[in-house]
Amino acid sequence: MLSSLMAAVGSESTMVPDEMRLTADGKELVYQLLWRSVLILVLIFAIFPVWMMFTTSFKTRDEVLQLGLDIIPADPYVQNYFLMFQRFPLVDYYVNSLVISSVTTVLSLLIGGLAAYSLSRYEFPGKEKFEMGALATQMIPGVLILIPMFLLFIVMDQSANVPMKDTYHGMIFLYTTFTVPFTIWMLRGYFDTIPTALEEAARIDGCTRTQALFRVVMPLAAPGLAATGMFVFLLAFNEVLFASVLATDNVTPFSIGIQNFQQQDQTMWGQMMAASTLAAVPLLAIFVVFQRQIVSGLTSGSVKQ
Amino acid sequence: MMLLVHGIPVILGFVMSFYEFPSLRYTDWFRPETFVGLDHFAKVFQKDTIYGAQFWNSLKVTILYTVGSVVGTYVLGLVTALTLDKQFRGKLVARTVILIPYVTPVVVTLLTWRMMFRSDTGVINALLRQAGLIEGSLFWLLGPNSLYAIIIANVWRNFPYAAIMLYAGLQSVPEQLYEAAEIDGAGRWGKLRYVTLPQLKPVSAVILLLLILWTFINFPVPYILLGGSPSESGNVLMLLIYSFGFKQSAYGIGSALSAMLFLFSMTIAYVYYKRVVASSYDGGAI
Repeated sequence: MLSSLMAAVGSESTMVPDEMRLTADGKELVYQLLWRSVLILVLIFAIFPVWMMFTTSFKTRDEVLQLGLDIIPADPYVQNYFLMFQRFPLVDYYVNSLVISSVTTVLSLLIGGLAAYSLSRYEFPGKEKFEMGALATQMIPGVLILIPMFLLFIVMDQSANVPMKDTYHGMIFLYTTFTVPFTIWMLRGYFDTIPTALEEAARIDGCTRTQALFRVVMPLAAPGLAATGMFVFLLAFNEVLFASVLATDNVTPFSIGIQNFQQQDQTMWGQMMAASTLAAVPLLAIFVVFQRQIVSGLTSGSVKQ
Repeated sequence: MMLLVHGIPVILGFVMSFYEFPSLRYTDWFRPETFVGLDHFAKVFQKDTIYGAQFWNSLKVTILYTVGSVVGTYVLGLVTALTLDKQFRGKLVARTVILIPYVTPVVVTLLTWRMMFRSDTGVINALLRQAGLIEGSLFWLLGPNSLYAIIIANVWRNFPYAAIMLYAGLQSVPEQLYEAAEIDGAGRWGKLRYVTLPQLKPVSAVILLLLILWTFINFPVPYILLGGSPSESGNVLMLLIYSFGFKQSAYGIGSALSAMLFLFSMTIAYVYYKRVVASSYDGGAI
């Protein structure tokens, strides 16, 4: 394809006889080919690592060490998917991550949702400061509060006798404080798009304010809640920085545990990629289902990484 | 409540930067004799101390990393957005595929990059060899190439975000502008140069601002690719602070550095707020 492209471009030079010059149609064709190949290259770039992860999960140790560019593993080695559970308590890691991420998601949707609703509907003194504060907390570099947080957790352990380090509630508490401001930012935009007239109508029909919120507004905001929930879940699921310091024994999450597959002497790439695939597939499935909402969430709110 | 939870560590972080921390027992903290004032800040800035040398190197690396990542992300995002803006079959599929890097859990994709960057049997070196660009193997995760490795992985991770934002921006460019440009005799390039790019300016400003901040304070990419103690050319500030805090037990120095980073990111947050939120700007983000 490339050579024909080059030929087509080259024929524009004055050396070729007139009748061989590109017509307007020909130029259009070249242009079409060009942007389509760019798009295909981008798509390959986007998918390639994920594809490598998937194929490597079906390779034996020897195959991983060979240079293999096979698009589809010829002789899939499914053992990785069983062996990995023997090596490390992967199920525990996964459960830890699920518990921490899910509770964080529910909590932040609850707290953040109500806050976003009131920001969207009511005027109150200090509203702008509150918004600014929510934005600021979303932009604080994690490393900045990592050391103080670490020390605070130690104080809670040592003097207040409330263990926070390496506990579910400690990690959930920590993550919720990050995800609530984020939730507020995402959901506020959604609430703004729901006309107040609908609530007023519900209240005329005899609903209380709270009933109107839960019966009318929340169902309408459901897609937004779902998309936000997914982002919050991903945030908590992906967190490495705090987890690498504060959750390393009892509640090791998946994001930390999976790194155990790389040891000083050798890395079990096949098994690690099998574990990665298992972790990625459910989230990718959710993404495909909610992708419309996620795209609109990306473009309408300020979305943290 | 939220402000309290974040406020205390932030303030504590600032206070810590004025103290020496002899141990992790909290009774040892904040004693008057451990007050060192601005010493930590001074040490960080002096090139000839052990901390200063590391800081200046990291600052340089971080700036290179940020510039490389942001430029790469933005350009690739723009190209992607422009191709997505055409009419073609399978557009929804293409859009979904492009977003995959953004929604796949970071940790697993970064571990995959780590695998692909292996020097002996990594697929990147294999591809480069196949294409005849290199002979033998390059070290990607050690030495000078580690900077490129983290840039590539970071661009891969973030370009879908830029692409989707710019794509949304493209949708809001009024069709009349293109028609007017056509009447004025503008070709494809002219339309891109004089209509599309200027129209994308506001949304680009927002994207660039966020990308700069996200890259500057990004932790997982360098940490998972290069580990906690990378070679000099990949030792970004985030890793340095982490290492001050948890490897070199220099909590005070780490806090001083964090405090400076905090001021930097709050400046960006403030600009972002003023530009995007408080103004009545209504295209793209927010």
